[in-house]
Amino acid sequence: MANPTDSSQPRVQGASLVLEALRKDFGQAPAVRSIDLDLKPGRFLTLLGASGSGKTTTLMMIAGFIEPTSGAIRINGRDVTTLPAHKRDIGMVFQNYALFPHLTVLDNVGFALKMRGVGRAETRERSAGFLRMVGLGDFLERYPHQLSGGQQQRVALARALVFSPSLVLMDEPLGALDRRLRLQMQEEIKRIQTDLGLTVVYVTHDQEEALTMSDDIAVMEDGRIASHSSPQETYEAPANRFTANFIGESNFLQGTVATQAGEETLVDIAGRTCRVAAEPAAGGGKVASVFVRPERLRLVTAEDRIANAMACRVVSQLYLGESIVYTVELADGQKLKIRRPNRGVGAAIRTDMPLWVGFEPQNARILLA
Amino acid sequence: MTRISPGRLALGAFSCAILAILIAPILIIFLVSFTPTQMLEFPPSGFSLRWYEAYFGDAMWMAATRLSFLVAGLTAITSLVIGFAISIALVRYRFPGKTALRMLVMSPLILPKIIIAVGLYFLYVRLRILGTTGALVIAHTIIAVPYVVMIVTASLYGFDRRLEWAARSLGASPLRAIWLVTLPNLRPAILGGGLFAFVASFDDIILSLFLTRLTEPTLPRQIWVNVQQTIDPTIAAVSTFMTVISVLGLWLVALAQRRSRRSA
Repeated sequence: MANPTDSSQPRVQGASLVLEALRKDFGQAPAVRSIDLDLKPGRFLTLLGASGSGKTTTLMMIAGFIEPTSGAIRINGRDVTTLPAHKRDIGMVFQNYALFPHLTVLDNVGFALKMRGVGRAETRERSAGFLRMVGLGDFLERYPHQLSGGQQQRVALARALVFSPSLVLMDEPLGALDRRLRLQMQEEIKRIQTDLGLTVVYVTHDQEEALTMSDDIAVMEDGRIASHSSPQETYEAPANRFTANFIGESNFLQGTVATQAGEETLVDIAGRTCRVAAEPAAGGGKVASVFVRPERLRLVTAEDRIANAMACRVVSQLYLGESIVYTVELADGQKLKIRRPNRGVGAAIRTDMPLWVGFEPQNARILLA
Repeated sequence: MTRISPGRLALGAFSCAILAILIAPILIIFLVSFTPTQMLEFPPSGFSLRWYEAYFGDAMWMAATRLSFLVAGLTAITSLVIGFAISIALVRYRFPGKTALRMLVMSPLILPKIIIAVGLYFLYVRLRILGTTGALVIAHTIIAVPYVVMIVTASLYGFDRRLEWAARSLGASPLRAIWLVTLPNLRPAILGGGLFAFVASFDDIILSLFLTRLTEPTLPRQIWVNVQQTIDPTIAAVSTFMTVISVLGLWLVALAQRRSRRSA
């Protein structure tokens, strides 16, 4: 994704972040097993995972609130593994904001500058500037409890950015907001991040949020990184079954690998030989899962209209407004989900006719795990 | 119009009776303190401030009052510092012997004070600090810390730790984060704990009997001596004064708590 090059905002040089075999045990139980990560300056990385996957623990280790059991954390090449949190110069946005209830909005934002011995007048000016940037220029003397959730979120953002940190960590910052506000804040955070050139590590369990905001997505599973790639790659070509399942909806067609034919692999599924984009590890005779997204499957009334056509019958359908999801059954009993855009009454599929489901070879992947 | 059931009426009457029994002694002492005669008489036969004059004009009484205030003030401070530190340890950390520590800290609430007094008496004799103000402050701190720990731990459990983390991420050292963020947000608990510690010291008689010199008594001990020897209405004036101080303290804490609740 291209960054907007021109901006009136003060740019900071984003930091690089490296995690090496990072591990954390709580008592006997490992919360984070082994995390290796290399994040380039100015990138927006999302740690995506279910609760208990270790994403927040990882974030808190980067921030310096939780001491790793083993492994190393480097920011801009400097080992900060044992550096106390207050010396790391990391901006942090917490879940539920963690604004200081006894301080005004202005003093909340000015806190970091006060800690750094910046003078009163300059603290006030810079804090007010950042509050204007997030659209809260008229709320300087309010207390946090006098603001709405969205406004508190903006204060938390301004507070974490005012001292120009080169690395910003965010722990599910939008979790408490309603959907409309969440979408608006996603855009705003993304805009500020690109404008200022910040390196951001963002924790969420919301896949949509991860896809729209990130340069990199690290999907976490049970204290490990299951996959680390761009949003497009994470969605289109997930590295493994866990990632495919976690992001978006997936179909896994069970079959056996027949042969490798140049660019493509032939897989026998439900009595039919299907062509799938080649995977180097797929040898003949192996049982394979062929992964296809529901919207990449097509449902047609004539066998010759699509590649890899397999006869099927509709078991059920789900009307979602902008699309319709059909559940179909193949000859061998496997069930698939197909998402079809809703193109109006005339374009609807008649489910009492013979139907075929198929997919383009490049829209499918073989996942052995 | 709401109908009042007989049951409610009975409960109301019962509650009023209990309140009256609780308040009556204070009220009687209050009235007696204004008597113009030499006797502790009730109801008083007139109105006079002579016993307040006798109290505030007497060097011995004043010395005892000053000592009590000094000891109670120092006790409040030391038990807040120690009690807060213990509370942080109990609420936030896991360590071997944690339950033992909790029980040890809270034990002065259950142990008869006289046992603590006798124990400290022998210890202080050996350490040659018996009768010093510092020694009495230490003794009172022992009995005051449980109150602080009880109140502060309760509110620390409800305190969002991330506020402190936020302060540290913004560049505050751990101690500074506690000072600038945790303490202001625990102000009601700190004030409450401090007041309880102050009162625990201010109205203690047992430890004072064992650990102070006869020539330098605390206020309760001076009252005790006075009751044994002369019994004049001065003690009614002193008691009224002590009650006023306690009520004033409670009222100030309640006021501060209401203010910080409003801003929270």
